[in-house]
Amino acid sequence: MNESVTHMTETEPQPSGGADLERELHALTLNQALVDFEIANARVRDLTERLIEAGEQVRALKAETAALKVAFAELETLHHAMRSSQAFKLADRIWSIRNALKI
Amino acid sequence: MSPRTLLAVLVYGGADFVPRCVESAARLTSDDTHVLVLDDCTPDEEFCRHTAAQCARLGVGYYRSPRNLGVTRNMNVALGRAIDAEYDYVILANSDTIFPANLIRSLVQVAGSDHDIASVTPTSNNVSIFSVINKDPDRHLADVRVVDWVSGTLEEEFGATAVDIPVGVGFAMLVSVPRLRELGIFDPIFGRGYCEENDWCLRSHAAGYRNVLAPGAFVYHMGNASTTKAGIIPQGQTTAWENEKILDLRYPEFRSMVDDFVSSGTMAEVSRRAEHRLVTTAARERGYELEVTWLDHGHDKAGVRFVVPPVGAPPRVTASALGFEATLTLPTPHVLDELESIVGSLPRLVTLFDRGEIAEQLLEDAAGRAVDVVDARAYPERVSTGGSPRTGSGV
Repeated sequence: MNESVTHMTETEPQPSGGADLERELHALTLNQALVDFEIANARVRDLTERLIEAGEQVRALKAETAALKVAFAELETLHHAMRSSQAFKLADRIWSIRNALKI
Repeated sequence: MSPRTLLAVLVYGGADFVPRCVESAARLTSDDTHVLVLDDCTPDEEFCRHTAAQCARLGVGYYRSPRNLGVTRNMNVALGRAIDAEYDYVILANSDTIFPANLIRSLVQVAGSDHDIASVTPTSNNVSIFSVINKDPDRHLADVRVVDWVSGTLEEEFGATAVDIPVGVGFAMLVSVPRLRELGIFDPIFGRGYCEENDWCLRSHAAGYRNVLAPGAFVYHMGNASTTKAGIIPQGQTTAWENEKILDLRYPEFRSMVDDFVSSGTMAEVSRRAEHRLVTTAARERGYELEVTWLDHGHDKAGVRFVVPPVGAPPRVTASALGFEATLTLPTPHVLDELESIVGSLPRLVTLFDRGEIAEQLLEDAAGRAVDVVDARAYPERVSTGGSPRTGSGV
């Protein structure tokens, strides 16, 4: 970095002189950088917590989905068995005849 | 005691436009107004030396950040400085701009009209939906004398009128320092820039404050020059889309606020008044020419031009000056009389390119009056030159 450039603030008529202005703005920039760092850290912590919470929710939802899939599969098997029984087939035929005769 | 204002110009390269921006800003320096150029560590050291020297010569503050901060953080340097040095107002400005002589007076007057005003944005050729359209701003407006004239003319029209807008635009935005202390500075989450001023304005709006447009102040804005150069957005893009998403997440009502504003017709009326005032004032001050034609024969011509179709009731005149255009709907077919009433003077030259009732009426009305008429129609008929006959050239 060319120091002659950053120090060319000697002649401006601000309330504080050029060198003072540079010193003040250096301090301001540094201070704001530190504040920005704290904000960024706080955001990372906040986002990490939310990510962890979201991850736990996803795990819970996945477990629930898996359990529901198992229950569904059992019910589907039972349903298929019922539809395949002689009693169901007979009842189904009777209903078809009734519907055809409009009884 | 007059309010103290800091005008902070944010710079990152731009040898083509920064010098004229700084010159226009330096004129505004006074006991109550200080100008500070904040160079975001431009890597071109020749540029930095030149800019620093220009600032020293003009008596303007110059600070080069030791490392590149991005637009958001560089703006925060300005805001922080305004708070620490106890200014009343701070104006954040891009460097691809030219400031008018009445900038500080106009914006401060608007800001001071209501303590609930958090930000004031001047109008411009390029300020998002708050623009006054200009056909070729780089050709017509990139001159401080023109900007002074445009802004002064608009100040005559609008005075210290404050138009409520959804958000300000950071190309040249005045921020109230008391509001800044209360609401905080810009959020660094917007990284290298874009939408940070919108976020602040929406934050202020949520706290019950107003963001307003000052149509009585006009700043020329080249547009995207400083941000494209800094690589904040790719060439051809107009915003940083990832930052827009943050706005949408934080303020779901924002887009409907903008839609409501656009639908209200407020800006259309402001533009109409601005264009009318600019064109008629230019005509009054510089004189104007009138053409009766279906086709615009000289849309690239300099000067103030009024163009009216040869038929049509009521007559609709398209008036243009310095790239601004206004439509004047005249109540009677006596175009000369109506224009004299609006502008305050007759056109210095009338050219008839096409036939029709308006052309015929014009010829009749021009007889015996101090106006040159050139009949450039096919089969030219009579012409007059302030009472003396003059032959026109047939087309």
